[in-house]
Amino acid sequence: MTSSTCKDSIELLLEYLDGELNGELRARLEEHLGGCSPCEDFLKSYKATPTLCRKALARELPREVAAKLTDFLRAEMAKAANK
Amino acid sequence: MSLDAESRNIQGSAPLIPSEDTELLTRAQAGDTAAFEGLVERHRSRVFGLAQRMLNSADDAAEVLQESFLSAYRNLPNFRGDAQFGSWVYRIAANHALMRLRHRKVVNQVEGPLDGPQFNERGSLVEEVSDFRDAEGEAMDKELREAIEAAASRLGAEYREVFVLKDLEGLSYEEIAELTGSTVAAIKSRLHRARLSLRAAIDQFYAERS
Repeated sequence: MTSSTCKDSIELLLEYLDGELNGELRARLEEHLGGCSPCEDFLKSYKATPTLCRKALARELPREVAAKLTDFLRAEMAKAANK
Repeated sequence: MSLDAESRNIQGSAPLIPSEDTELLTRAQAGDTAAFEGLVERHRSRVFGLAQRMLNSADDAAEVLQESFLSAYRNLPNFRGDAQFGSWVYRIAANHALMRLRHRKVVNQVEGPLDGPQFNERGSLVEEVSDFRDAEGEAMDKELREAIEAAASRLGAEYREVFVLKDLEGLSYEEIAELTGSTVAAIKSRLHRARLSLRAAIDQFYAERS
């Protein structure tokens, strides 16, 4: 079995984490990860990225936006009722 | 849903019960505007969150919010209930947000290359990877939040849309394919590139900190 490079391995990370790599590719990737601590660290950071981004980019609805939405929809619904 | 008196924002409530939507929907379709407002109140936070994260603009997100619920109101007579109301209006909002994002891309064409890992001629990683802190546990550092916001704002439209829909909103690849008109393979490829770019920004933040 030809061993993977770091570049080959990193290309497969999304599918690996999704559980969609076939047996041989998964085995090659895991063999590489077992012997390459930079790639092991890279995998940890790649795995952590979506979670960190979700925390950083969480947004709540401002009250004034909610109030404007209510006013807007009431005006539109009144227009529709008067047609 | 509670209004946090000390906050300018509306806090989310407990998970929504679809049967409560069904009752409100039946009344809304019969012309009960208060019932429609009830549906809006139940789903507006999620719709706003999607639009804000997709467009990175509170003003644009507020417009998408209004457009989406107006569209839902106008199409209430046609809504047959084969999907949940929340899913339906979310999909309307996703379409509105995607159209704006893509129009913005057409208008402002300058997008730089995405950051990614560096390899030598043998395909070996040449950079040192920073220690990403426990992503689950810690409260978000303000400067890290700003670094991530800046990196996300630099993503081109086609990368941003798949990253937001998959990693922030939790849609399946198939749902994203239906919304965006892209293949699952293309979506996965763009998502991977987006994650690599965001990972690089976070890595740089931790490297500069240490």
